[in-house]
Amino acid sequence: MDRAQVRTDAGPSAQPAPPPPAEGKIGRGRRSLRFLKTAPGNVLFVVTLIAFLAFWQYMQTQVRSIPPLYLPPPSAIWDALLENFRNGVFQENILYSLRNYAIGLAIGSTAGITIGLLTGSIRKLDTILSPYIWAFYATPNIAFQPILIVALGFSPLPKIIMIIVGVVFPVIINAMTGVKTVDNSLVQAAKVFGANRLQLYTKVALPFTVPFILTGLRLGATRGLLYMYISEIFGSTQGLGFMVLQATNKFQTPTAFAGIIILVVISVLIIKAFETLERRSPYSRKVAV
Amino acid sequence: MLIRAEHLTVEYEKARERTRLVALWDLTLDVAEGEFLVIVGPSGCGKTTFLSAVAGLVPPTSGAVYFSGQAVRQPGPDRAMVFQDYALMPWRTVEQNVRFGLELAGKRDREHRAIVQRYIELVGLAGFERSYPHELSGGMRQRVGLARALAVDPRVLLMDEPFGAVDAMTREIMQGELEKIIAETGKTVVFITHSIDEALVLADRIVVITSRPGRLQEIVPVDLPRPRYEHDIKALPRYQELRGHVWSLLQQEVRQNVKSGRE
Repeated sequence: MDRAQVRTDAGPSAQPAPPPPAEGKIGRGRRSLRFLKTAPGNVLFVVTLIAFLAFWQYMQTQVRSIPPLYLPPPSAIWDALLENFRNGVFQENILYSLRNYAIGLAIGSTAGITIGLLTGSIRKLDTILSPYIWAFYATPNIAFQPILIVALGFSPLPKIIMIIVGVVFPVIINAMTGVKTVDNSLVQAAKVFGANRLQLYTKVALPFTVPFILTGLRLGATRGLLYMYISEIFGSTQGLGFMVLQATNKFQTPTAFAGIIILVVISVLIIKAFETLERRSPYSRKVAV
Repeated sequence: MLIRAEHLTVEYEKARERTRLVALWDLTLDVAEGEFLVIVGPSGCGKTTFLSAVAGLVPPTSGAVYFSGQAVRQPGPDRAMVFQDYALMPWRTVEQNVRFGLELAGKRDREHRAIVQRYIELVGLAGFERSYPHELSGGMRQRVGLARALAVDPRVLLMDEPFGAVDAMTREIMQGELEKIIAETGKTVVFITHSIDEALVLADRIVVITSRPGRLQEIVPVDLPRPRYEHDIKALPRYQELRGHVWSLLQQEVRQNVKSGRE
């Protein structure tokens, strides 16, 4: 009896069921594989990161497949990081960038929430403003940066404006969508229990919109960082973006990489903060149906 | 009479098709104080429109609805509603949802607490005060909806297929509890359903409405003993008799709708 015969005759049901995984037998086989299967997520992350850095270090110091000028080894980047913190260059530029970012984010989100709520609630305003809002939302508005520099020079102002422009549109769009999509049955319920127009707004529309606004803020914060960085690359004398550009121009790639790593850390922290805010908010409870 | 509908006609403008939909046609109906009135009819017969008109959410095209002698113009806390889809605020806890109507009326927090607690206990939700709606089952959510309506101490409870989205077994239990609660609080109820059994278990009178346009077909008094949740009323010959009668009224209508592809 050949194997094909068995398959066609008996079908999949004839195949012996795999033995149930017994306790303590998870991840049998090679030790490394067992580790990958059982280690908790954060341990796994740290271990693989170290492995990756070690590989990078080895390749760039021993094998040198890519010229270290383009891709310096981690040890060189680490040295550059320490050096620039010691002489205060990093602190100065990080502070400059974050100050602009904080101002831009504050103004952008306040304006975004206000404009979004108004356009979402007032029909006429929506008809008039919506096309522009969507156009600006779709456009890479960084295109305006050169004009702003010509008009306003190398001061922080054009950068703050760019950050505002980055933050404001996702916030507007989301706040607007929230107000417009308020669950009609909730509105009906509130009306039945005697809500006046103000109460319909404060007790139903606003709380309903909070999760939308939080999503808008998270997206806006991300965009704001992008616009901050780019606006520092062209036409700036300070900031993280400027620093990375300058280091690259001077062929100090380890310093450039160190700057990029700082940008990564700042970005991750900011995005995580907004994500946590979004998740923890009591208004983000699922709409129960 | 607590509620009186006089030649009530409600039409909806259908903007897209530029036609008008007649939801209710010349309906005249009285609801007595303390009565449990159940309206049955096929889908789209304007049952919900009638409730909305009593609640003051929909203006009559002609005719009028009077509530304790006054023509209804807008919603008010004397008429509370329980919704089929619960319509609970997902960001509010059970306690905060029950408090909703009181809060709108602008009463102080301190006065609320006792009232809110009383109705939460009445509907059997003690211990769930701090839960959110999405953590509750359908039956429990509707208990919240009921407590929210009762908390404003309305003169009538308008219930729009409140158990329509609840599973069959929970539904029977909820019906029994509702009968008990209504007996305890003495509220007038206008209740909508398309289940004949639900109507017979709950109603003092059943109003049968035909569809498109919604017109009153017949009022059937239900002379079954109370409390019905204690008796096995479904085994009574009278129950079968009434059921057969209501079904014969609805049957023709439903058959027609099935034929014309409405259902």
